[in-house]
Amino acid sequence: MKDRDDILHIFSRRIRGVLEQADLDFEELQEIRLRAEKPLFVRLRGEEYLLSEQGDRETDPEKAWKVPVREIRETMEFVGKYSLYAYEDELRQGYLTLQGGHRLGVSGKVVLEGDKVKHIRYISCLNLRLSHEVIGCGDSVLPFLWGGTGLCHTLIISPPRCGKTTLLRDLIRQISNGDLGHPGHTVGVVDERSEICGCYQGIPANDVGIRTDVMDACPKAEGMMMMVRSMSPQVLAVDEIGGETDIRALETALFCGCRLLVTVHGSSLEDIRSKPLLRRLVEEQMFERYVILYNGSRTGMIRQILDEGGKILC
Amino acid sequence: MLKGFGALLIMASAAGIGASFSRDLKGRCMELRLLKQMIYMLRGEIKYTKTPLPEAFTSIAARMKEPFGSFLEQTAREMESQKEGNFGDLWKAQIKAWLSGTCLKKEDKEQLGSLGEVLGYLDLEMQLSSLDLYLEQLEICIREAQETASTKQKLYQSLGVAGGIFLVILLV
Repeated sequence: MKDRDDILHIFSRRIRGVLEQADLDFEELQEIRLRAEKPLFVRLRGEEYLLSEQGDRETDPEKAWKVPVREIRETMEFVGKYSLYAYEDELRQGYLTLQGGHRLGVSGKVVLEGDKVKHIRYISCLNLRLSHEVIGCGDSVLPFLWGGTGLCHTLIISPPRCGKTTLLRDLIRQISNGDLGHPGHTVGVVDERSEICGCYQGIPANDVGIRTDVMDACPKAEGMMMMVRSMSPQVLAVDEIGGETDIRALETALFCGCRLLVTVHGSSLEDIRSKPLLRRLVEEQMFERYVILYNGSRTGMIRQILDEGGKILC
Repeated sequence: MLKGFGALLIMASAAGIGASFSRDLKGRCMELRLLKQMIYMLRGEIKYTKTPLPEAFTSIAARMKEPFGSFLEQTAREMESQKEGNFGDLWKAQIKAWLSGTCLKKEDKEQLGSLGEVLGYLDLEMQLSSLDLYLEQLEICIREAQETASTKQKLYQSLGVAGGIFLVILLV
């Protein structure tokens, strides 16, 4: 994996030592979990393992290495580049996005201001979810997304951890570069959580194509409007819509002539219809294609591709 | 002839020592002002762009005079290399390595060192208040250094010359 060293470097020196000795295949690694004074867990190809201090894979919690709280604090110093104040807003939401689009979930003692979360102190549990760039995972989907007038407005519906961001990223790359006899399109990506492009200092670390403009770490609704106004994208891509403002911004972008490529949490079209905010989008046939994913043996397994009327295309 | 030359040498070196003490006083004032400028820039980077410390240090380093420029640049490099788990220790080690040859007094360096204990750890508001508190302390130090410089600069110079004359009288 190209950023193996970058990933290892977010950990404290001792944890790094254990992970290095464990000789993990980072292409297959999905999660690393640290909890204060509890064993270190790794999830590899869907299987969970505990690690001993020598890096051996264990199943017995007694033999596993217990992560000292000091190591978690040191890891946080490294993750935050000794500057946690710079990540205050992200921490308030319970996660940090690292270079490469990997997401580090945190939990600990929450400090409140009124009834709002002000900060998380005494961080004691960390969960690193690795983002995997799967080049070509959109190959089987893309042919269904081209209609008579160009790219269809598409909604990708997927439960969590089924690879919707991975699929979206690959579709963006292919649409931006141009493929299957279609010319490249200018794609505007609003990457609120920096997961799609994995930007570092504004520059995408993942391959998102040669005609892609990225608004990194920007709230979706605001970012979509900024994109439409400033970069005149032909295709607008956003991940995990849900709020009322997101939907209003999508409608505006639609009227501006942008093609939409959007993902949402859900398991089926009926599931989306049951959500009050999203139901209107389906009823008004705002989207021309629905790509529905499920949790299969590999990332981005397609259950169905439907057209605007709900007719099964694949 | 030889005695005259020796006497001249003694007087020149004594006056030189006096002048060097007086220059140190002036140097401290200047370096404290540079420190203030550095912290103001850091405060701006943190307040307006929430820049993480290593990036802020690198960008400020380019605009600072030596040895403060190298001090910040090397601190940023050490932070990126992640050899030290505690920022406070790393900060103090860099102060020792880069600011030992300056005119800053031991207590100035200790004060700067203790800033490292609160940098980077707390939330934005606390971060800015810690920097403001340090700036206030720095302002007091600058005022005190300026007063000392204006009263003692001339004193050291004259003492140097007078000491030289005294030595010449004693020895010749």
